[in-house]
Amino acid sequence: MGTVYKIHPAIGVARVGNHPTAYFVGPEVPGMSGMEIGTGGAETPIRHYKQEGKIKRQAARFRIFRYQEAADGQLQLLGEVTANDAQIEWRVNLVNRKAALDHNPAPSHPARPRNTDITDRESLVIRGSQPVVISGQNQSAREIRGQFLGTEVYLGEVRTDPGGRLLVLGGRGHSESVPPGEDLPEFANNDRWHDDVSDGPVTAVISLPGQEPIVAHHPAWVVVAPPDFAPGIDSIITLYDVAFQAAIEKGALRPDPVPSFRRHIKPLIERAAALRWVNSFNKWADLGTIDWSVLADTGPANAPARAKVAKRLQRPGLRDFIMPAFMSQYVNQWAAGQFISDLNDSDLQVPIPDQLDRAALDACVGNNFFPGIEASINLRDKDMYARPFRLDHTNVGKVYPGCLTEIMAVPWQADFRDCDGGVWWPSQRPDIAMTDPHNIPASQSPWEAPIPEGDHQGMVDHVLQLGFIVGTQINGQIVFLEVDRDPKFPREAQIAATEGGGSTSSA
Amino acid sequence: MKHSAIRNLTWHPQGERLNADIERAVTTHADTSPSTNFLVTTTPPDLTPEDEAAVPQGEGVPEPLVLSPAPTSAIEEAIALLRIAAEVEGSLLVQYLFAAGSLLSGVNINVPGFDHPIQTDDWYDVIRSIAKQEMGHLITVQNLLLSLGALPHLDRENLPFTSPLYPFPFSLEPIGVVSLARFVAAEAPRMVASADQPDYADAVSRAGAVVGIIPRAGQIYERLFWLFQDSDDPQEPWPTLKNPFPDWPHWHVEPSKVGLNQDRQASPTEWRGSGDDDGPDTAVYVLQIRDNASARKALYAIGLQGEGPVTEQGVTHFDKFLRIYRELRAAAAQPAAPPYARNQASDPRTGLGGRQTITDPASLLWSHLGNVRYRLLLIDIGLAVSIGQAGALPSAKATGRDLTNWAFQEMIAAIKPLSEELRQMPLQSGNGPTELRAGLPYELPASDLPTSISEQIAYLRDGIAEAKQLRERIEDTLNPTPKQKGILKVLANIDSAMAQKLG
Repeated sequence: MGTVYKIHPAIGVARVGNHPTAYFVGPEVPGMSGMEIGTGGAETPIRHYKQEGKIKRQAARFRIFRYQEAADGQLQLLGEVTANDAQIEWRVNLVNRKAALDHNPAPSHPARPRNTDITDRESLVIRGSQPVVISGQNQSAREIRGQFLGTEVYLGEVRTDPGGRLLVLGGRGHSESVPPGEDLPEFANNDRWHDDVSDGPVTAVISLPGQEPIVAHHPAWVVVAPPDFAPGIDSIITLYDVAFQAAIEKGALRPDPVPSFRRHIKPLIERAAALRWVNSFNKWADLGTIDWSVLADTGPANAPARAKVAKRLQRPGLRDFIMPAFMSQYVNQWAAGQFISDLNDSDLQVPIPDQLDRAALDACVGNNFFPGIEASINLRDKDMYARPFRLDHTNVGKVYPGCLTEIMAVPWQADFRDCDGGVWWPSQRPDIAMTDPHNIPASQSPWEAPIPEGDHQGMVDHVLQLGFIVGTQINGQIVFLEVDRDPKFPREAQIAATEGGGSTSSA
Repeated sequence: MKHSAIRNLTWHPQGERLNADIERAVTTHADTSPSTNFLVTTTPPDLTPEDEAAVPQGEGVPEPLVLSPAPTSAIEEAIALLRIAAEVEGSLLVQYLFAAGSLLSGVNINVPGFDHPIQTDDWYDVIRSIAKQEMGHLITVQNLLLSLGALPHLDRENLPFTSPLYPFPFSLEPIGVVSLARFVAAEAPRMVASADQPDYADAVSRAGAVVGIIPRAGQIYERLFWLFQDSDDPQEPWPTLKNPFPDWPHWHVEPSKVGLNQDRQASPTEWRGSGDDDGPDTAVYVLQIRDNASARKALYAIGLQGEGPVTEQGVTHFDKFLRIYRELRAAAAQPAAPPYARNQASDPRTGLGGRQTITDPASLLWSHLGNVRYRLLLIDIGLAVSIGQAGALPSAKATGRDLTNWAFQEMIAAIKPLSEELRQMPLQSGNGPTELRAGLPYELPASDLPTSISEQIAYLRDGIAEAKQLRERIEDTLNPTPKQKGILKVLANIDSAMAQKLG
């Protein structure tokens, strides 16, 4: 029995962006947007994901929570520990080891050994000389820089907020080859190329007044990922669902014996319905006009309606789509009428730490991993975890700085170019964008136009100029429209000639 | 000069032309001795009442199939059938792509009796997905050939002729009730569920009125599975399999002869494929062959994805085509239904011989470019699986990995965008916007494609040069749109990279 200190979220997610200073904190409440921290520390929901035409970075914010451990091992939440309560010394180690990948994660996974002709493998790993340390309130940025084949690469920075909570920011969305001009023939494995995503451990030492410093018992992990260009739209299956399934397989969690319509089924349907704004309006439009009272009814008369939607959820037509077993069980139970009909009940009260864990992962793709957007198949592996949603830092064979992002596409922009066609991750990398609120769905346009098919270099050069798909209220309804597309890069623009490969990402 | 049989795209690792003794020719004449004839019918002998309703009721037994020279062993028969399978896959996937490309996007049709709006976007997505899965089958068939010590085979039936093992003569058709009916019949399983039989029979009847009896493509894989069994006894994972040609020899491939060339076989990682543990609905199977067991798994996976059996309804190609067939047939019957497809030419051709010849100058140039890219694609695939990912081309810097990448670049950056442009271009000079559109012709040359590695490398170089000329002519004479210029620029970059590595 004693006091246990945990860092939440267990896995935090930051995202790259090319604005030099502007950033926002990623989602911390499930279903809600991120927050911007104004002068004086006031926090407001983010409204614009670009500023002066450049993408704001998403910061991952980490907090310390204190628990009392009971005799039976159960932990009771006591509350957050901030810089007002203790000195908190944060330690972050961001690493990008994509170019040094030396294995194929699975036979059907696209990542494979890279730069196999370079024997100095360390020269391919981008990391700071040592983990960065930061402590105190409102601390300014401590940068993390590494080297790639002798060229300096900015990986990100750490700061603290007014409460001394850790803020991790990633790179600028910058990708290039060393030397410049290398070809970009593939969507996932391009030798001599690097980008500036990363991942690594987040640990903390807590010093309460008059007490010996304590290392946080449950450390966390941070992933720096590409931008989410449709931030209000989540994938049907999220990384939270993937991690939840892993926790079940590890015996650490159990699914509910009977699913709740409100908590388990309705969100699934809503996420599928939202794909009409980023995938194909016609294909998903029928899920946008649902009579919830019908689907929430357990009666046999509504079984056909439930079965029809269940089939849509389990077979959405996305490539390599896998619904975690527990979710599939929930959907089957719901279709069979064996569920809790709690459509209009109040939401359960969820402790803040759990909300932090969930909100971070719910905004990440878990449908399919080829290789994915934020992370990939290794998050399905139960042995990656020490506890639900929390990676096992002691399993150094599987969990090491850079382990999550190393099997992602390099550079990520090449994958973004090829992963269109409506079968991959439209919730992060839209297939379509609605451009006219008064002309839906006819104003549906290819999101990535005019970047031609197969033009990986074009995506490196221009992806940050593309628009965000954001929800807005029009005539009492929420519609998702494209905003903040660079006016200097209209859909009818002709890509400037780029001979061969190499070069920097767009400004 | 092209012979009347199926053109071959085969080669020997040492660059020699394929041994004529192994080269297969299919004739439509029953002129070999009865002892070497392997007669094929589409009527299994052990009918059940369900089977009877499922079997196409045509005008009679089609021309007997003659494998010439007759195989003298199970492995020879397997190789012959795998080549046919490769040609069927390559042929079908192109026809599927053409049909899908003819669809107008964003059309919703409400039809009485259907509890959902019928959507062309859905049809487009499903048919293109099936085409991609057929590509996976094609690559897996190459692995099966390699595993038996045979050469890759990327040929495609190019002349209209009948064979009991080919579903129907190659013909690029825009989407329609009859074209879909052909696809339904081709992908049919041996046993069609009772509830599906009326619509299946209707499809068979409509297709048969145009092309005659359509043999099931699945029976090729059923026979192949049987060949890879240890004995005549049923075997996992297809214990319900029935030998579709019970009059053929009761022999099986010796285990010691299976599993060759594993270092050259395509892997799912290289070819963006799925493993055999991924579900059949959306997986693109690219499976490697180590032994008889893995060969059976691969053949079962292909068969399962095409025709079943599966425990879940609606995931096989047959189920999907049948569903679209029902919807399209009903939509087409609606008097006020909006148009769902372009006024697309059938079987467009750049030269004489096609039912609808492309004469519009711009469409002609773009079609030639599309044809060149298609041929480059086939050569890229063939060479990639011939030398393996770790292999390298003789007298060139290109590796197997380069060839695989180029193949994908042809698919993504060339074939797809060019077909999207061509389906909007006029077939003939002076055609107005509502008159016939061209479409990508997917033509193969009049002469046989090269069969040796050195000839194929030369062919790639020539193709790059030809593509360059065509691009320049388009740029100089046709005032391409910004989008078209983007396509041409990407192709120029691809060709530049290829030329650097090919020398």
